[in-house]
Amino acid sequence: MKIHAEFIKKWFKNEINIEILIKKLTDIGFESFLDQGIVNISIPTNRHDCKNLYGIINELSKFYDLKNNKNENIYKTFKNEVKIYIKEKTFCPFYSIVHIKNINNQIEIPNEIKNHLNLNNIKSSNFIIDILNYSTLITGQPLHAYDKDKIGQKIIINKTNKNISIKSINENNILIKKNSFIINDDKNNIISIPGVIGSAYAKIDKNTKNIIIESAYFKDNLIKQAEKKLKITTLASDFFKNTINEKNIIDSLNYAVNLIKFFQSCEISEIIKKKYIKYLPKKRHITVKKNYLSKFTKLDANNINLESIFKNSNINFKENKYSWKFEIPQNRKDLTIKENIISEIIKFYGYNKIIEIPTRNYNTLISKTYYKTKSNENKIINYLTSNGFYEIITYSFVEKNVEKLIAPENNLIDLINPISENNNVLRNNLLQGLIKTFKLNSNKYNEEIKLFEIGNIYNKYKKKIITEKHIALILAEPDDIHENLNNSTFYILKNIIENIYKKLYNIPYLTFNNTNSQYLDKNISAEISIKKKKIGEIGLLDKKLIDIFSLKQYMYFATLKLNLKNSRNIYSKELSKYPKIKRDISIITDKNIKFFNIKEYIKTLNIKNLKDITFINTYDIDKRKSISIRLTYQSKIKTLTDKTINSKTFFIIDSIKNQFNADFKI
Amino acid sequence: MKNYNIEKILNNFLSDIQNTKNLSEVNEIKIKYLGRKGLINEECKNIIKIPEEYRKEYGIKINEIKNRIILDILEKEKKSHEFKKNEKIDITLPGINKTYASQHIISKTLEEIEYFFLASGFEVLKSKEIENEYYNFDALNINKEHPSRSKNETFYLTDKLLLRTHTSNMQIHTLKKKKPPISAISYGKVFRRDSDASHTPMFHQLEGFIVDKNISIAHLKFTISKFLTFFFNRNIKINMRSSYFPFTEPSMEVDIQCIACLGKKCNLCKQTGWIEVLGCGMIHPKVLKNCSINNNIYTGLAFGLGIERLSMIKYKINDIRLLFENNIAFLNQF
Repeated sequence: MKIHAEFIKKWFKNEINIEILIKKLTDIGFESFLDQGIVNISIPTNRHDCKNLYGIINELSKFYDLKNNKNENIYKTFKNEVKIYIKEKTFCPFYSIVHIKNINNQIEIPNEIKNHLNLNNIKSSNFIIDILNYSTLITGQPLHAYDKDKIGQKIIINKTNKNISIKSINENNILIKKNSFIINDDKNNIISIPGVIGSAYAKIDKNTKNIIIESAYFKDNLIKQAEKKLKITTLASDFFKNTINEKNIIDSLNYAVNLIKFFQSCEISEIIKKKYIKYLPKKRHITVKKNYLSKFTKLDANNINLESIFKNSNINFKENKYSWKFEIPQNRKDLTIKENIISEIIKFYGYNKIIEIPTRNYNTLISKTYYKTKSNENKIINYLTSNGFYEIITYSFVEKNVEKLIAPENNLIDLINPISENNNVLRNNLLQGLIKTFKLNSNKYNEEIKLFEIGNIYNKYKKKIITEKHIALILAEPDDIHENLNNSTFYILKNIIENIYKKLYNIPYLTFNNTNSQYLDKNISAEISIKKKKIGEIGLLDKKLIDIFSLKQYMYFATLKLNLKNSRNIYSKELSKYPKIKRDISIITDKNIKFFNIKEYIKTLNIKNLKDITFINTYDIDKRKSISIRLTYQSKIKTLTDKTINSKTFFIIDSIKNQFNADFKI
Repeated sequence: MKNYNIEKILNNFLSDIQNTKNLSEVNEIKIKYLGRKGLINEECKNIIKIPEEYRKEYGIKINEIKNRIILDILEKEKKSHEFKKNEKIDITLPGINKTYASQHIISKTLEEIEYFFLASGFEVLKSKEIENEYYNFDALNINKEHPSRSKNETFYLTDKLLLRTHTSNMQIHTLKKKKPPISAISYGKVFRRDSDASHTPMFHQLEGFIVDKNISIAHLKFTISKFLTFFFNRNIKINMRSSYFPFTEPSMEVDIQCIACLGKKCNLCKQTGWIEVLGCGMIHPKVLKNCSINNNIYTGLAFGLGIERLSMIKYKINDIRLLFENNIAFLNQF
């Protein structure tokens, strides 16, 4: 809600500092700020009763004295001949009207009123409509006016017995279904859909001279139903469906009439009304025990002066030694339980007056799974940052057109209502965010860029959505894309992955196999698994991605599942006090023979005291390749002799020769 | 005895040892002369070739020379360990450049906050980003007409499934499974359909709650106050004021005195002297009831904070979008 600061000041007896007023409003739950002389007030969604100035002023009346703005009924220059008939009393238990003659609807609306309407996004229409809309914004009671010359002598609140089509005051065709509430005159013309919108039949225009102004109570849930049926929401229906205060009905009518009278001379009838108390909402009461309030707030209930808190309020209460009983106004739908009342009390009493009391120690044990997961994650972050990788965080939703290149389209999860086409699907892979971030930085930042992200990815599998936590890394070849590819970057990345798994999960042997990845180069990529279970991928980005993103460097990427269940416990092993002895051998073999094949084969030979088989280097020789391997021997019981080691080494060599048709040099 | 080979060995040794430049070379000499297959041992094996009457004398000679070689090598090893006198270096030059990159500031902030609550006895719960309407709205007393449920404000994956709009869904999951007393936090990504200089469609929240007998607003105030003092690393003045959330009653917003101007009003606090930092309240009785917790016996406190917001205040970051742009120059500051 927006109100001119000068306007709001007029409602109070004494001079008001607007900044202090704004602070007070904010403190009681109506966040406000001043912007170029206009107070902007945020009304909480549960306080419809404050979507009008009276409501706000009422809240502030705890702090400031109000001017006496009583609306007196000063008219009755002629008798109101119009009769009210309420056939649907449950729907409309209270209905009142006033008749105004000889009105000039062409006079200019005063600026103050026009400004207030504009501020609250209500378009100016004509004098009468503007006054009524303005009155609604001030009092919270919607008013409606009919052109008296167009309607009969009776106003009947009724229900239709068939489907009827009408034109509304804004010239739209509306189908009113059978058994819907209507207001019609004695000629059976529908003059309005009560509480929602008027019909064009009785519409006020610039030439209107005589009007009937209606102020009524319509049942909130029935107005809500009408809104839904008709698919219309208006200023009036918004107020009615959130319950108005029946006590305000006549007062607000007086307010509007006084306002009209202030600006022009016209004849005004008495107000006639029909009220069926039996059908009005019953009074509600909420009892709050004093010891409950004390327990809830740790305040002494006897020290709280409710008289001052509820002064000028619509909330009456009775007090006894042990409790208070509160009578709740109809339009305070936010007050339904005792905690709501406590909230009302404390907000004026002041939360800052409540002391602090320590909670007890809950001695909550840290779950082992949580600790392991979290500590591993922290170690990964530390390890990667110390190796020059920056941690990034990107959005969980990405561009579908790109994600389709990375994962099968069937696996992607669409957002029904994305915020943009660049973010219309949940990410199936961390790659897209990493590439885009890389690109942004490579334009600004000339140094080597290495990035990683830890986050969830989402996969559709048999109609279910599977969420998994992954880590992904990206780094670029140092040289331009037009230079020759240097595969060493692949092995740098591979080493990082192996270190993470070796140190954190105590899994020393990851398996690297060929992969069918859609987004990695077929010759420079691998699927990573542990005991035949896939945990990730590593490789050079496929050319199509490099083209799509117009990348200037070759990019290497690795992605891995976190939260492994098969990490191993670490135990200390007895160390040998005897020296390690190394033998380096070079194997010349076909290019399709991999280091892993040779290593695994050597293991099958079960050579005693062979502790380690490590890779030294590889290079091409004509159509074959040379792989240099270091064999490390160590015994727990003695120093191994040259003779022993040589014999084992030669055995290994002979075996490899036969197995792989290889040649050797030592 | 003529032509002691051993004397030749000694002369060669003296020449070799003199030319060594470092410990590695000294070691090579040591192996050459004193190793198992070294020249001294080989010479010992050659004693057999010498006539018997001269063997004893030759053996003594070999030992003498062996001892000499040992001593000389020891001496040389000792000298190699002495610091050489080098030229003076420029000690003001920077260290050799190996990049030490950064953890993302959000990740760092989360760690810090989590540490506080863990140490304060809160359990850390798992997080669930994809949720249904019941856990994200209904069970939290958010009625069907609430604007937050509309497709303008919440991301939907299907009619029923959505991306959670707050971490409060974990409150429901937990309260339905566990019996009080419960003291827990949960954090992670949340999603709202909003994007401008102070809002992003994805951000991080942390939710904390305690459900027990006799939990009061006073306990809530204590928890919040201690946390904020820890996080901002100073005694912080707080202002608690009324607010509205459907899942707490009473509901409050908490402001801290502006850390830039200490309440004197500035641009950071939009000339108010205060900065809003988090929302909190007493868990609504309906929420407890929805989780089959007897609200006549138990009460609960709950609080939720935006990690981005807290980071921005603490580290003076003026645009939330910087946190997801991931510009290295920005990330490197932390």
